[in-house]
Amino acid sequence: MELRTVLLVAQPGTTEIRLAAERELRRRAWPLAPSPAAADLLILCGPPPIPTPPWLATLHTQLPPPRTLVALHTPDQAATGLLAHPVHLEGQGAEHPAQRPAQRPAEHAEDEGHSEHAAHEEHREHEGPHSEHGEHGGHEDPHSEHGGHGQHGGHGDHGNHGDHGGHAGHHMEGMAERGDDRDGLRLDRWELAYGPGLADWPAGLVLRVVMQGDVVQEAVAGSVDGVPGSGAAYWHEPWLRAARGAEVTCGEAARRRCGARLDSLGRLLAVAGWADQAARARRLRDAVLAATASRPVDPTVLGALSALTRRVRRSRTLRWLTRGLGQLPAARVRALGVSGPAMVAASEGAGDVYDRIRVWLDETDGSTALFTDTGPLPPDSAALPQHPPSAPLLAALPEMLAGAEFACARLVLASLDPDLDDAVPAPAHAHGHPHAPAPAGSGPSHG
Amino acid sequence: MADAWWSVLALPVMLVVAACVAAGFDALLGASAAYGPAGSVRVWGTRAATPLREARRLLGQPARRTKAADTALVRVGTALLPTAALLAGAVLPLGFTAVSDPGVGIVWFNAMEALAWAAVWLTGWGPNAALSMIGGYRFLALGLAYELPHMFALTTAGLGAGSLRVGEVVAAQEGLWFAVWMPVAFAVYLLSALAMAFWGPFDQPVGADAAQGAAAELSGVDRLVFFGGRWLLLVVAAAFSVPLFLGGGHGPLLPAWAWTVVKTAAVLALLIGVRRALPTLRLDRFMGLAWMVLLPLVLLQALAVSVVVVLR
Repeated sequence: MELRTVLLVAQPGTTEIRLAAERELRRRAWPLAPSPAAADLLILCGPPPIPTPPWLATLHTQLPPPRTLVALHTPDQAATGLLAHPVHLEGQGAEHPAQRPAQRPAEHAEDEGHSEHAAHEEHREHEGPHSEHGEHGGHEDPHSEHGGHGQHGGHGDHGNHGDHGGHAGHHMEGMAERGDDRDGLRLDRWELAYGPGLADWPAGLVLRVVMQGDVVQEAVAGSVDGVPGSGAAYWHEPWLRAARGAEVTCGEAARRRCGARLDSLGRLLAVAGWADQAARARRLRDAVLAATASRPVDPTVLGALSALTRRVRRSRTLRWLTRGLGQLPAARVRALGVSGPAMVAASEGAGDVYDRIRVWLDETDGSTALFTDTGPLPPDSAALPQHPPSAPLLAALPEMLAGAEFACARLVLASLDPDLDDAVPAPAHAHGHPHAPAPAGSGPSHG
Repeated sequence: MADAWWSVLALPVMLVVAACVAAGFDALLGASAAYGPAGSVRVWGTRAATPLREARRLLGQPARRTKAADTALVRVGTALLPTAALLAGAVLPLGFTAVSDPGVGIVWFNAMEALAWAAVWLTGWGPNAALSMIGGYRFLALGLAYELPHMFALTTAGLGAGSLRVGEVVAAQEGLWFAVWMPVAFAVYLLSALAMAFWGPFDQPVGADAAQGAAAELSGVDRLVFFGGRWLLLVVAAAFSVPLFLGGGHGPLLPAWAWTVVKTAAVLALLIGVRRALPTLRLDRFMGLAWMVLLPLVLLQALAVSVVVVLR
């Protein structure tokens, strides 16, 4: 019986594909890999960017041979053929051995099997109509990883950045000079980029850090390019649709809100090392999102949902581990323009990691009462997120992560959980999107 | 307690079988959280066999190296883990029979189990990768936190028996288990058993936040040996609590070996369950707990046991 261990990597704008992939992996009982070394299959959510960006090429070579890369272009592909879309990365055979002399060229030869070439052609054809791809290489969004370089000024060798290979955070070749750490010890400072390849990591986030030991000294958050034309941010989509004048029920919005909070909760619990509860949160998330007006959420799911939130709420260990960590007080929330759970957490408590978890739990519990609400979602609903809500969170990260030990930094990041989908430009027209928003102009626009 | 020639051959086989059964049990628990309850016996069997299928997958996977890695260090580190478990297991009595029962059996166990410090650190340092190195150093921090309370818990059991020979510790519990009249030492031993196998709430050295830390760069056979070694270490750590605190092979009706197996299985199930129930403890928090609470408690326990032994 075949067992594959999967490294699932989502690009910004591919939340719906990622959810479909996670569902399918659960159905097959294929475990998610914690690191590239543990994986034998790399699943990329969204089409592979052309030309292949260094982070993807590096991530691919970090898998042990024989490595397979599968790209899911649409959510449906997850269920119809997880392995039916193997991808050969553009230009990899030519440029890669030269870039990374430590890699044996033979490993790359293995990737170029004839069977994959056929799929590759198909893959190119599939992408033909998307004119956006032509400009992809030059696409610069405000959170681009290059934006952060100024803040690195004077620390080490910028020419080295491309070589960090460590978008998955796995190579230490960025050793720079020594400097005083927080305890007055002179320690090596190393520059690293933790990036889209880490498990339980916000999709597409690239965190450039200067570390001493396992303490983050400086951090700058950026992002890889999103998938252009990937549609509205999945977690905000019902509100955006309502704002455009489409018929959206409160129940659908409540289920989406609940799914978003469970998704964040699952990621945080996984980072906190509570694998079982993380798995439960994700299973329940998918059960809630699968419901429709005619097929309501199962009562057993509702029961399991309240059992989960009760269990997490009552965990003294989790409280002990997260209390006082990553405080984002109300003053900073206002100054940065933070919205969402982080804002609520700051107004109701100290605004630490634990407060943000509690807000998620409250919103999860609160949304269940509205699951079957068939009333229309008001188009100018106050729940409409400020666009894009992830930008202030990324801006808050440098001050919140500086001085944090690596495990704390991961918890702080997971508790903010920036959703980079919202920074991806919305499609000009709704092609093939299952939840196609009404064309712009057909209804009252927001604002 | 008698030494028997066959025990040398039986020990590795029994430890590996116990590790496979324990891993299967753990996989069942994990699968019911991830996929819901098993619908049929067939699904149940497939889930329980997941660790074996994973082992077969890893055996067939070519190893992958990182840039400028110290491969020899990684090899030594990963191989040291099961080796340490087997050597520590040499003083484990099955019933009343062990591979060896030296006069310093408890010290031998402690020394062998401490090899895991080196094993995990070498495995973390070798690949020349950031997260891997962070994981390796986390084990040193974990060691600093758990090792002293652990040693005093071992010492307390030795005090109670007036001997460091495992056979004599078992003999001293014919009437009353040490777990009953030195509960703090027993509890601290169980905590340190989790910690020495970097298991459960003490799995930060291979934590999910750092992509499995020390093991982040392991693939193929290296990965199998490392995580297999960790299972062996957990089995040995659980099994050693039986002669130390739970009366070894003593018990009514059943033969001595069966009592050893039953008690070991119970402790192992408890340790596996604890991991499922708790998130990973960060070592900056656990360090305080270990030195400010556990160490004074276990010292008081040792004092109480000493007084009882002197007055007896």
